[in-house]
Amino acid sequence: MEATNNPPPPPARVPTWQLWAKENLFSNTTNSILTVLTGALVIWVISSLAIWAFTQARWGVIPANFRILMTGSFPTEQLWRTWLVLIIVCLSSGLHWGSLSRGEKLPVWTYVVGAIIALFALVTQMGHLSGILVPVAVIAVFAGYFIGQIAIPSRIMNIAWVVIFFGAVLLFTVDFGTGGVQTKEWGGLLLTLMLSIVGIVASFPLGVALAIGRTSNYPIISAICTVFIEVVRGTPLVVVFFIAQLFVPLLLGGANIDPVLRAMVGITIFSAAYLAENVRGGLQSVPAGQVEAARAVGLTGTQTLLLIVLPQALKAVLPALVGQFIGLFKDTSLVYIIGLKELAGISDSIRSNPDFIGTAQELYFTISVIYFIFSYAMSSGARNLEKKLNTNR
Amino acid sequence: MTTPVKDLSNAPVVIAASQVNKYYGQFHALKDVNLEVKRGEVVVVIGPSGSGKSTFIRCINRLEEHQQGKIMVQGIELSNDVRNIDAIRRDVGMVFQSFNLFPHLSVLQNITLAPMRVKKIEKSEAEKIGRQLLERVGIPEQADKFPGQLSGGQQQRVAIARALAMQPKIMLFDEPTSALDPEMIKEVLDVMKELARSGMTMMCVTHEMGFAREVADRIVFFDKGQVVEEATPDEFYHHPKTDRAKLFLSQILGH
Amino acid sequence: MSDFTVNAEQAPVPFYRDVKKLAVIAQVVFLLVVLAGIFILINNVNLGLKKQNLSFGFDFLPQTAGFQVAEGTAFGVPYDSGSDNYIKVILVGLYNTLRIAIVGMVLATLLGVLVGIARLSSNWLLNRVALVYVEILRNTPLLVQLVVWYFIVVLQLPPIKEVEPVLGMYLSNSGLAIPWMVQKPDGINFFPVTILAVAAGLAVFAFFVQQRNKSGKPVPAGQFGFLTWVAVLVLGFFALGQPLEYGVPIRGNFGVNGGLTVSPEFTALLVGLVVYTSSFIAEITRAGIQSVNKGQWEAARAVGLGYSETLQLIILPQALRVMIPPLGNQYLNLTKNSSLAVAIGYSDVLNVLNTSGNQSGQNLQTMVIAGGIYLVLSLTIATLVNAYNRATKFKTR
Repeated sequence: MEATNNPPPPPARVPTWQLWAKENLFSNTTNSILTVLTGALVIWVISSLAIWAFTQARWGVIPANFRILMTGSFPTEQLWRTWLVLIIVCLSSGLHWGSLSRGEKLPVWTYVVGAIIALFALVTQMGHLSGILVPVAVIAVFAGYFIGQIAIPSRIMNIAWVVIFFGAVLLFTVDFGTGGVQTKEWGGLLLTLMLSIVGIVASFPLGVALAIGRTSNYPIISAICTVFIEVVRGTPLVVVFFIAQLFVPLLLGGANIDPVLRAMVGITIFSAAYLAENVRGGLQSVPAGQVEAARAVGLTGTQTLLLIVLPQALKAVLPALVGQFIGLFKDTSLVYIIGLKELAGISDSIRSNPDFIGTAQELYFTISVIYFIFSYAMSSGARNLEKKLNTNR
Repeated sequence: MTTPVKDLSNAPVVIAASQVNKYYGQFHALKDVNLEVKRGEVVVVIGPSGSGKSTFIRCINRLEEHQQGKIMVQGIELSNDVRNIDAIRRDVGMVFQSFNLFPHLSVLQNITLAPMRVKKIEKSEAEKIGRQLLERVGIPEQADKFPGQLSGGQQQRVAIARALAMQPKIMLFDEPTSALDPEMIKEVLDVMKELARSGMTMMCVTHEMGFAREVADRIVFFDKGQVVEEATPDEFYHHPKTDRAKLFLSQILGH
Repeated sequence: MSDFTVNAEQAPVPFYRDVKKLAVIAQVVFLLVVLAGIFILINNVNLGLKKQNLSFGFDFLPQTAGFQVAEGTAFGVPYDSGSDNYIKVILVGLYNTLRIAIVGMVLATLLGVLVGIARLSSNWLLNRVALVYVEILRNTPLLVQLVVWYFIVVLQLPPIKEVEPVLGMYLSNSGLAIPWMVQKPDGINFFPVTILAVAAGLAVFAFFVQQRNKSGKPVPAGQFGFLTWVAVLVLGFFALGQPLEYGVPIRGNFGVNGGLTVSPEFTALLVGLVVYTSSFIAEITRAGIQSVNKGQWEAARAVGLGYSETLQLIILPQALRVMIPPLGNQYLNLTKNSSLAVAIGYSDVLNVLNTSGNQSGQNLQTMVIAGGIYLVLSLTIATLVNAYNRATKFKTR
């Protein structure tokens, strides 16, 4: 803190780049040496990366496999489903963005929308219709933004997202007479996103219930919830996935359950334990006086919990929940180990294809960029959200 | 200084505590407390910190549980019976030292929540009552703000309105002005005085002597978990009987 | 006198309205539902297993494992795939997990603290580079990083024949070889001594911390603990008849012999875990240093300490207290993350258990064992961190 705070320059000096460099890069001998060494490192990394990217890399592997990277083995003739969902998501993002930024600028959604537009730019390769669909999606964002500013209260959007979530799950599966899609055909980025979204949504009620149980005054309920939470948190996600692969079919008497669904069960249980700990923090941050005041005006215990304690607790932990979602988004890559074809798994399959041998660098570089864009956008969003919540208090 | 002219001799007893004992682990917080409050009576409870005065009034609506003895409120015994506890809480309003307004709800929502959820009153009706109450406590213009946007004195007045919205028969005040800046104390005390004059049964833990002299019918002095002295304000402030009360008065008046 | 106090005698409260009884009933019902759930689960699993002609038992553990493990010993005892049983092979895996976790914790802490300090540097370039490092590592999945370290970095290194040693160390596509004190083939197993040394060191440390808290006198507990550790190692070395020898890697036709050699999988996993975890530790360090009151810098400067002296003597010791709980969390994460070894084929405990499960057909049991082992490891680390936290907290009095 002290170290980065340079004294403000006296007003008489005109700040020039020489001055700036002297102050920030060459203020003393140690600093000069550090600058030269770090500079050399930076130049070496950037130049090697550039040389590789522009002279050696065989980027052809990416466009050739773009559809697979995005959606895995999702049937080509059913891709309209993903397009439809993407356009609805764009429209709703726009609406939400608009309804929230009425009168003020809210940067959170700009990042999300930015990420989605960036994605669309990448998706351009997908199918011959994309030339029309990409502009439609972009227009949807901005149309939504303007409509949202005028007409849509943001509370409605919260409900809309839940509807969109279930609608999307239906759209990605149900047969409308032209053949359905099976979850095992999900892949690539689509599978990554669906695993993390289903993970956080499905784990939400369980996690909140566990948190309430753990903080309750009933020792037996509290103990059972604590044991569940700590056992799951003490187990690595890979082990949870392995156990889910083996257990879930057995629990249903040896039924044949799709591996994607098994992975979802695993990620839901795992995520619920972590969510419970986050929510517990929120519950404990609500002052005891709130409960007393609620009881004193006659609310029952359940009403106090649902109307007074939970709303405050969830608001307090919102940034932490976004952080958890980012973690979950990255952690879905572990399903590669149990053989599912999300981004990491699909890259592994592509590079084992005889046509694309030796393209590991290109593939992993690309998926790293995708992961980075999404999680960096979300973490910036979370930081802004945190600032906004802090100033609101 | 006006001594209220009230005839309480025929008024029914609405709070009756007999031989109430409470322990926190080994600590004996209330020792054989006996106290009766009549309908329309204003009782001010004072005593040094840790004397059990707050604990006692928090026992009256079961925010704290007493272990021995009996507390009757409006003829209903405060027992483990959920129905009794609910009935008593509906009839007893409470105002806290730290306001405890619900920060995620607007001022009006703070007031209408309990009538709507507990008494199942229509929203429009509840809001009408809410606005009348805000008028009564003197801040009708703050209805749509959030508690965080109000001053301490305004928040405490909202808290009083919130308690009144349930149309309680008895109001408990737990050091309602202790967390307030001096210039805001008066606005809260004025509301409380108006309430006292309207005939509300009140039990107030407060050290505001002016308030006590003006509206209290009786002072109850707590020390070390016991009721040490009960007297009218004039008697208590001018001719305290016990040494402990004298010591306490010299401490709060002497600085 | 009153119309209220008359009906003092009331009917006894029915149980469904008594708060105390309701609390007990709620808990009993909850417990019964949970137990019933567990019973149904177990029953279903047994039914399912029966369908597949399997049963849930641990009889397979004493049977011969019969598969090779690329590296590691059962805590100093060599493993023979021809005759040794599953228990022993699991121990080899556990040893490998602990090895990578402990080395990883030490290196990640060193690297993370350095990057954290760089994040606060007044040098703009260094500051930005550290920021980019942290952001890239934190925003991409560890699994992808590990795959990159293994397939794109370590396996692309030149073969051992073409590598020149640096300070006696060989880093090639067949892993890393460094000079080290290694077990003589005919010597007594030295491993128990290393465990004993750590335990003794911790015990001495804990004892003196307690003394310090009791007496309030300054006792260098950390130094005493460290000295005990060294002393036990040295004493053990001579007491067991010098079972270790100094080995230097020497290049042969097919690889290197002598010294300590680790596989490319170990190398990639270690680098991956250390680099990934360091980015989190860097942020913890930064937050820790920033939490130290600004007045401390000014006071230290005022008494004439330089930047690095102030940092080492004044700021870091204070920042450490804030850093310990999140740091402990990172150690936990690192240990759990080492299970990603499966992705690149390092023989950690999960990988070995997974192979054991496939070999014996008892996957469910081996995964339950895996869960149990990680749970014990997590609880151990959590306990140690809590104990340390408590010990250092008292110092502030």
